Amino acid sequence: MQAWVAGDAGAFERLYHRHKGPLYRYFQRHITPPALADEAFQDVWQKVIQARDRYRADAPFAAWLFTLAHHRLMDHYRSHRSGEPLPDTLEAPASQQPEADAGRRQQAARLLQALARLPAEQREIIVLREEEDLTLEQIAAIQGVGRETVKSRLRYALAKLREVLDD
Amino acid sequence: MTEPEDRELQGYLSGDHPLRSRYRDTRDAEPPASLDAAILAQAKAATARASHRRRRRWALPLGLAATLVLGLPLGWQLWRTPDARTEMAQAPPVRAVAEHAEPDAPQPVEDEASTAEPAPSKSARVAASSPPPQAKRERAEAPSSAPLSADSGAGYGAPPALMAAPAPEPPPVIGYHGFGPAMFGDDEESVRMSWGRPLAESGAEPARCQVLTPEPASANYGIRFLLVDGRFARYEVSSTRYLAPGGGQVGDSADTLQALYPDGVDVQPHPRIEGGALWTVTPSANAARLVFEIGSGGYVTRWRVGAPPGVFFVEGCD
Repeated sequence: MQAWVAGDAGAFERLYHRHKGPLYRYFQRHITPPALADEAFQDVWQKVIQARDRYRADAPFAAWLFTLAHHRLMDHYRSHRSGEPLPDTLEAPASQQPEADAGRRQQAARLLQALARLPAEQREIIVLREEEDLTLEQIAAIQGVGRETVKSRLRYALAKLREVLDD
Repeated sequence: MTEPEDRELQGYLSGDHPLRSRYRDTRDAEPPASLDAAILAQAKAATARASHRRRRRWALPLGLAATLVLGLPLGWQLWRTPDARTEMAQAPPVRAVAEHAEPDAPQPVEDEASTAEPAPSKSARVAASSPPPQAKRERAEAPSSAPLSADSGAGYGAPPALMAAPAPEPPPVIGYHGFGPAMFGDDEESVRMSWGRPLAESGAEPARCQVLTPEPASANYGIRFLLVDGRFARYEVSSTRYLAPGGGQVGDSADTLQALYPDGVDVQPHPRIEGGALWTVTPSANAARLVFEIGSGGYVTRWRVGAPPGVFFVEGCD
């Protein structure tokens, strides 16, 4: 990030390729229809570009990026009044070998459906942990709550996902 | 919570949990190539403009240094030559020469505090954030910053320092400097030229305070300009078409503003909106201010950039 701010044009591209997947899936897991998720994804990168001079190097870029993403998600919930779980229609990931991977795809689809049924704040913790490996402290800062609250939400989320994971 | 659940949590946090491998199988979704291209193009354009601004910061000191290095020895040599001393003694006073000289060309004004960028790649914003026709034309006619090629013939005989100096670039459309080429403090004509389309005038006392609104009103540009004592004092935006310096825009929440403007923000209750607020951003090394108006719902309803005292008027000329 600092290299990019200093004028290294290729630095943003490297940054983007490293984090685009996690951020894209973050919104796909939280917002429907997908077109609105795409819009939120683009909005956040736009904010990154606009506010790059305000990035503080004392925090990892991913934590800053997902702070902006969290705010964008909250804005979406407020404007669409849709903090409720997503419908069970999240698309299962595509695979190059459909037959061989049929079992894994089914499991992945079930996990996505179970994630969709979690309350948004619990789902967000799972996504941030799995996509960017953020710490509980970083997630607490993003959600604007205490570390113990995040821990408690995570505990509940794991309990609800256990049934799917035991399959 | 029970002990097994605590153990499960500890296992998950230490990386020993089936969720990790199962989740990995869901990580196939990636943004479409069109989205990648749009975002990367926007970043590239922003990087190029920032680099250009940095280069321009060095142009003046480098030019001065080169002039001193080349000019001082030459002047010294001339002074030591008896014929030169005679000619210089017979030369007309400097003031007389200056009276016949062409006036200086206007210098480009750099808005270092501005972080305004071009429109986002979403088509609606692209169309709306582009400068109006006049401003576009002026940008298009601005000289390129590309260095002159050796065989172009242009600049032949010019001192190396001048050849190396980058060409001036117009300021950004939205910024703390003003709007497009119109700087705060400029006259009405400058604002009209910058907008490049008809502007309707209003205001109870136009000589003191004047509001210029784009015509036709039905086009709903979502922007208007304010002049105090005949001088450009501020512009106001009530549309999502424009991004404020620093990235804020109409519709942003207070949380988003907090993330975008972590420093130098003063928050006050809105004097006319119950539950509303005014967020005033003071950029460093710039007298202008950026003021966000937050409605009772907690979202930015409009924002303005301007120079004091006009920027602090609560509603138009009031």
